[in-house]
Amino acid sequence: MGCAVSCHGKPATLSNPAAPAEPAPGSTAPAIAVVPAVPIPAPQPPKPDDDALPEVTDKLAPERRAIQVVAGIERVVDADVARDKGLTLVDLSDGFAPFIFQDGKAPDGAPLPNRYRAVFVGLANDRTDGDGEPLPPGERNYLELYGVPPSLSVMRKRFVEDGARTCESTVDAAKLLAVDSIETWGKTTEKKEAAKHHFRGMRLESAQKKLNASTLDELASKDPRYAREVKDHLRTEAERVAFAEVEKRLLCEGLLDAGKHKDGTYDGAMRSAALEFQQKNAVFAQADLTRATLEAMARPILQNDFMALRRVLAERAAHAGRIIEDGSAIESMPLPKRNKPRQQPTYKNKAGENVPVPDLVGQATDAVMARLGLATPEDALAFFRRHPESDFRSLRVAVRFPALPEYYGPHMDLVAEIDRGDIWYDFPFNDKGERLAQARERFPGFTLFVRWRGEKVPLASWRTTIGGWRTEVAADGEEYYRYKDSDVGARVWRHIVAAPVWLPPTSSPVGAMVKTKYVAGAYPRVVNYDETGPGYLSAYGLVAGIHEQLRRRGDQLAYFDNGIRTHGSFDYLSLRGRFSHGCHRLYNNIAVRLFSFVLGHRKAKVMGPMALGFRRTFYWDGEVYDMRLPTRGFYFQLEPPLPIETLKGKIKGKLTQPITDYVPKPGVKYGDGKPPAAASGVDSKAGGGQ
Amino acid sequence: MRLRRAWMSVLALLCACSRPSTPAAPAASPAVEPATAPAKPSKPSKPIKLAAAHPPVAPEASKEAPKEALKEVPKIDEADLKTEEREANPYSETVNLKLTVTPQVKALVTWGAKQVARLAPGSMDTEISRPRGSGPVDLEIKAEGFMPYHTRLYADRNDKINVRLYRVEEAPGLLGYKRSAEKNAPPAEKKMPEKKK
Repeated sequence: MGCAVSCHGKPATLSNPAAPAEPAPGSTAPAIAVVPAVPIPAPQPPKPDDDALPEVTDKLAPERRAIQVVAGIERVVDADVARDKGLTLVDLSDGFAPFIFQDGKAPDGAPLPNRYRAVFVGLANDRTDGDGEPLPPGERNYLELYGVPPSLSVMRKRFVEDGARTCESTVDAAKLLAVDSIETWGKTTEKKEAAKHHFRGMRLESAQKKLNASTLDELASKDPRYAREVKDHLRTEAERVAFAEVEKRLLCEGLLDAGKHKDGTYDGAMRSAALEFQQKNAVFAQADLTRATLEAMARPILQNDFMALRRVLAERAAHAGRIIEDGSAIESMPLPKRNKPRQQPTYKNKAGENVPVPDLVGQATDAVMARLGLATPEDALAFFRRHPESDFRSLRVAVRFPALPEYYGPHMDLVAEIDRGDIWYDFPFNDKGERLAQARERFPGFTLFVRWRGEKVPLASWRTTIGGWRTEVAADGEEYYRYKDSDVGARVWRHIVAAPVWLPPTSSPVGAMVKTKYVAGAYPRVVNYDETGPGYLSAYGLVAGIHEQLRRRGDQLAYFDNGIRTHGSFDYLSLRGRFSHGCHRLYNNIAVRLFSFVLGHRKAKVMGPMALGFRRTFYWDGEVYDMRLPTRGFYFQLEPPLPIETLKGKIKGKLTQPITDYVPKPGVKYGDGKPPAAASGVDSKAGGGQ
Repeated sequence: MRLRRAWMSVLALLCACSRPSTPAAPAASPAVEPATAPAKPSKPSKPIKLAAAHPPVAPEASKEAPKEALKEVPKIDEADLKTEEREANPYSETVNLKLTVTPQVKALVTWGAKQVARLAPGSMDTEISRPRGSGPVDLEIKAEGFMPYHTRLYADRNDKINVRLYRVEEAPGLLGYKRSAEKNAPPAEKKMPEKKK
C-alpha cells in the first residue's frame, strides 16, 4: 500500500517513482495483506542493445568515464562517445546537487557561489547537519521527505549493512499486518490504557466462565452485551502482538536502542526509532504506527532499500533529463462522471493527432535502472558490493532516455496554475466556541502547463496549500485568529530563489526564535535559524518562486510582491489538507525539480546571492540574541517572467469574501480594548509548519 | 434575523460590484515581459471587511486598515535587490571572521565550550580563521554588568560583525522583553484561557 499511493494522496503508478511512499488516508486494508516480494519490475534493455557502447580499454580520465551494464556485465565506456550517440549521462556521484544549487557566473565572468550547494551535498552524504557542521559519529540524516535524497554512497552503506542482517526472519509479517494501525499514547495515558485492558480482560474471563463460553467470540455471540468489549479487547491484543513485531523489526534494523527502551512501551526511544524508520523509508507519518508504517515493516529490509534507491535514481534522472512529466498530469483533468476513468491529458503532434502526455520521469527511471542492471534488490546489493565508496566520487551511467515530446525546446511557453479548490471564508467556530465542520471535496492543486499548438497541455499536477484561518500574535501581544488569504488572479514568477530566507515578522513568538544546540562541546542557547533558513527547514523550503503582480504606479508599471510564493516545504504532512499562511507549498523535492525544470527551459539570468543584511536584536530570559541573515538566497531572474494564475476556487459557506481583521479566539479572555488592526507584510504570508 | 439578512444582501451586492466579473485570462508569455507589459494592469483583488457579517466574534471594521496594508506592500525592484559584496576568492580554503564589541569593557567570547578571546578596553576586536563552509560560529559574549549576548558569524564567506552589549537595565527597551517577562511571571499573573463551561 505504501508504494501504491503517491505523495499526493493519489493512486500512484510505478511511473511516479520519485514520489515517496505514503499511507492511504483512512486505510481500510484487509487484516492480512499479501506483501509483494518484488513490487517494482525493472524492464530489461531492448534487444539487440543498440545503445551498448564499446568497453574502453585505455585509461580514461574520470570526466570521460561512464558505465553501462550490457548483458549483465558492467563496463566502462567513453562519456564523449555516449553524448555523441545521443545518450544521457546520469550523474551518480556523491557531489550531485540539483540545478538550482549550481554556482553561476556574473556577466564579467566572476564566479557567483551558490553557498547552499555545499550544505545540500553534506546533508545528502550524511556528513553534515543543516548548518554544515559535522554530524556526530553514527548519526544519519534521513531527509528524503524533506527534499534531500540520500547520495549513492549513503545508499551503498545502507544496502551493505542491511544485506548483512540476519535477524529479519524473526519478524512475523502476518502479525504486523493483522492490524490496521497500532494505537500509541504518552507515558501516563499508556499506563492507564494498559490497566484498562488488563481489567477488561479479567472481566471478560469471568463472564466466559459464567456463561461457559470457551472463547471470547463465543461469549460475544452468547451475550451480545459483551460484543463491543470483546471486539475492543481482541483488537488491543492483536495490536500488542503487532507492537512486539515492530520492536523486533526496529531492533533488527539498528534503529532502536535496546538499552534505552522498555519492552512493550511506546517510550522516547521507540518513538524516535519509529520516526527514523518512517523517514528512512519515506513513509508519511510522524512516529504514529500507521498502516503504511506496518506495511513497510512487513517488507524485507532490502526491498525497502530497493524502493528508496529507485526514488533516488528518479530524482537523478529527472534532473539529468530536465524533465518534469511524472504521470501526475492526469490529476489536472476534470473529474470523470459515472465511474468512468479520468481522461488522459494529451498534446497535438505534427500530424494533428492527440498523443498522451508521457510519464517521462518514470520512463527515464526505468531506463536508468535497466542500464545499471537493477531488476531486484539483490542486483542492487551486488552493484554496491562491486563499487567501493570511492567510485561514487565521479560515477555516471550512459542511458538512452525516452524521446522528448515535440513541445520541448530551449524556451518553452510554460504557464502555471493554482486551483484553490473548495474555500471556506466562514469563521470555523460557532458562538459557543465549538468548531464547525468545513468539509472540502476538492483540495488545492498546482499544475504546470505548456502552451502548445493552441492548447494548454498539463505536464505535472500536485497537491499544494492555500491560506486559511491561522493563529497570529497581534501588536497587543495577544493571539487572535486571522484569515490568511491566497491572492487570486494573474501573477508572474519573475524571480526564483534557491535556498531562500524567510524573515519572521516581529509578531512571531520570541521564545520560538531561541533553541538549545550542540556547539563545540557545549549546549548553549542560540538563535533558532531553522525556520528562517537558508535550509531545508526554512518556512520557504529549499526553493521559492515569488508571485509578483504588475501594478500601475503613477505613469509607470511596477512589480509588487504581496508575499505570496510557491515554495518547497519541510512540513510534508501539511500537504495533505492543512492550510498555509497564503503561500502555495510543494514537497521540497518536487519544488526543487519544478524550478530546476523551469530554469532549464526558460531564458533566465543568474543573479547570484542577493544581499539582505537583516539583523534583529531581541531579549529572551535575561539574555540578548542577535539574529543575522546576511543573504536573501541565490536569485535567478526569468526573462520574460512566467505567468502564474491562481483560480478563485469554489467558495463554500455563507461568506464570499474573507474577513480581514483579527478575530478573538473562542474561550480566550482578552483585555477591554478592541483587537488591533491586522498588519500586512510579505513575511506574514509564510511561516512555519503549523 | 431579517435585519441581518438585509445587511448580508447589501454586502453581497457590494461584493459583486467590487470584484471583476471574470478572472483575468492568463497573459501570453511575451505580454508579461516588462517592456511589453499590458497598458492596463489587472486590478488587485481587494478583500472587503466583513466583520459585521459574523456576529459571534465580529470585530469592528477598521476603515483605515486597507490603506495601511497597501502602504506596507513592499515592492521588489532591482534597486532593492543588491548583489552580495564579492569576495576576492570565493573558493579559498579558509575564511576570516571578525568580531568587534562595544562598549570598551572586559569581555569573554566563547564558542560552545571553547574560549575564543578575552577582550579588554583598547582591544575589542577578535579574528577567527575557519575552513570555508565549516558551519556557522555561534558566539556568546559575556561582560560584567551586561546581559550575555549571542550572535553568529558565517563561515561560508569572510564575515565581520559589530556587537553592542546591553546593560541589564536596558532590557525593557528590547524586543521580546514583555513576552519574556510574561512567560516568567508567576502563574497567577498570567492570562489564562477561560475554561469552557
